[in-house]
Amino acid sequence: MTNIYHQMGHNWKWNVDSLQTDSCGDGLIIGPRYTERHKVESLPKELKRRSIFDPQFFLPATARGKLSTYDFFPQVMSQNFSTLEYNETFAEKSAETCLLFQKNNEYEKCIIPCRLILNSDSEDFIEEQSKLFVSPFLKQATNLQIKQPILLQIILTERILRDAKFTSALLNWITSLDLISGCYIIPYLPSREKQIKDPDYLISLMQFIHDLRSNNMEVIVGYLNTEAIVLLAANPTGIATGAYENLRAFNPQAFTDDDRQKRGPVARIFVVRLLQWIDNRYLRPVEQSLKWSRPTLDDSRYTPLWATPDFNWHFSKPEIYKHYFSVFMPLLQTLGKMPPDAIIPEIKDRIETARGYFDKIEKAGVVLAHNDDGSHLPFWLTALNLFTKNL
Amino acid sequence: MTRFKTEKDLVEELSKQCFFIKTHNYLNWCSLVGQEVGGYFGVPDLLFAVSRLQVEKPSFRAIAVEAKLSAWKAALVQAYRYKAFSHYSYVAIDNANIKPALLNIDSFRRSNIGLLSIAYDGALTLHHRPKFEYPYCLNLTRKLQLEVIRALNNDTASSKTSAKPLLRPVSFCH
Repeated sequence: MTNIYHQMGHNWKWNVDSLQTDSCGDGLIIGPRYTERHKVESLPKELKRRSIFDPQFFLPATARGKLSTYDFFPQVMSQNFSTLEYNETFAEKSAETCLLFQKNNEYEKCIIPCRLILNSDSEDFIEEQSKLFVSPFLKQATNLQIKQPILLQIILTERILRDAKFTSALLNWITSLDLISGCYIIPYLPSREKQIKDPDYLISLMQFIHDLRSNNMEVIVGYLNTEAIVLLAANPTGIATGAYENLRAFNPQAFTDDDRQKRGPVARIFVVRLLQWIDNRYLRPVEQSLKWSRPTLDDSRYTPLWATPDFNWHFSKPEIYKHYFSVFMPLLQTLGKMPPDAIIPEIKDRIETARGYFDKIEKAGVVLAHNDDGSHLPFWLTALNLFTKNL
Repeated sequence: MTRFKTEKDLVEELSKQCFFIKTHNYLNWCSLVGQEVGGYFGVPDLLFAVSRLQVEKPSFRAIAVEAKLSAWKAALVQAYRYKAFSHYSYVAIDNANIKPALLNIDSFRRSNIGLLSIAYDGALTLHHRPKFEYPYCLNLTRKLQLEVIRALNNDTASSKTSAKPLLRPVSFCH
């Protein structure tokens, strides 16, 4: 069974509403970058017990946004230190307070954070993560008698996933660690389009999840977009998706000091039968080509709110994300409960059906741009077929 | 065969032509033209807007053009976007590179997007003439209609976004 989590970020109350009011998803992955400490602490206990707190130490020298309200965040512990100076002394202090925070709030799991490492070989990677995070956190976990399952956070970069030796070294290391129940994986593919169209990357990611699961480890995969449906084939114990694009594809830019204002993305609506987010301006020709009427286009309690001619489309509107949660999360939950031999054919069937719809759209003369069309779907099918073959 | 050096040259040549207005019988309407008109859906290289203000119910029509030296497929995607707010949408390609687009003319027919080629000397060849179709995005069409009214009234004060109208009046040969 796979649990479905909300990846919390800016406007995180939408996630809480969706979980509590609409019963979408099973829990939250709380991100301190956009949530002040006192607000996180004041969340209902019942909610915290089925949620996870991700300390987000990705760039430990930059306490961006609300991260500065957490005393265990490395930069807050020692003002003006640089990432290079983050040594074992700081690491132990930070580990103790961070774990105590997770213990006292009674989260479902405890997370050992990691920093983002882009260019190093497997030896250096493992050494640095061990020295600064894994060893101090495990030491403190023993001291504090942590009872919750402990998950090791890993940012899976392209470099790691595309290097079989690196992946193998990483798996060996993770599975050799005592007290670790599993991993909280964050896939990071910087060169991606809005949908992942790289079957090799998807296969490697699924294989990594599968290998950990074969070693009886828990695996939660965060920051996922619609490809979450494909990854269910690898039977992770949890997957997380969020509202804004930076919560559906990990982007370290959100954690840097770079305050350059970027133009927000165009408002898209998720159409579950198409397994795609569609630019709102294409909605009418898409509906017409499929002979769908708007009220029946992925009906959710939010459809009547956005499906009006006067809806003021903007990427910051809550209705479009609450609708996404309402139509996608129940699908993921249903699939996640299916037996392993039934889930892959079902996912493939969903993808084939979506492809059929896109064929109809194309035949009707509707020319969608590459971020709105179905061009990701054949890659997903290839990834699933090859992954199944290797099982 | 002489080719256009840049897309800008191609657009410049097209902007001088009364072809679009004439082909769709709008010579007696007030005409406006704009280049690189943003703020709608995509940025058409050329946007012609015509209006009949003197009739009881003012009406307007828009013709959008995407000009490319060669990349017909990218042009088709862009031209389809312009159908969100225009009644006719065209792809114009340098005559020297028109062959791949002609091999795929069915895509233009299916999407009701016009295809023409333009030679370096300005000679135009129409390969597919689109039929009249109402734009598919009501909000953007309303927005453009307001912009047309503003430009025809030479009303810069009411603009929230720019002092300079995106469209300027133009007069073509009758």
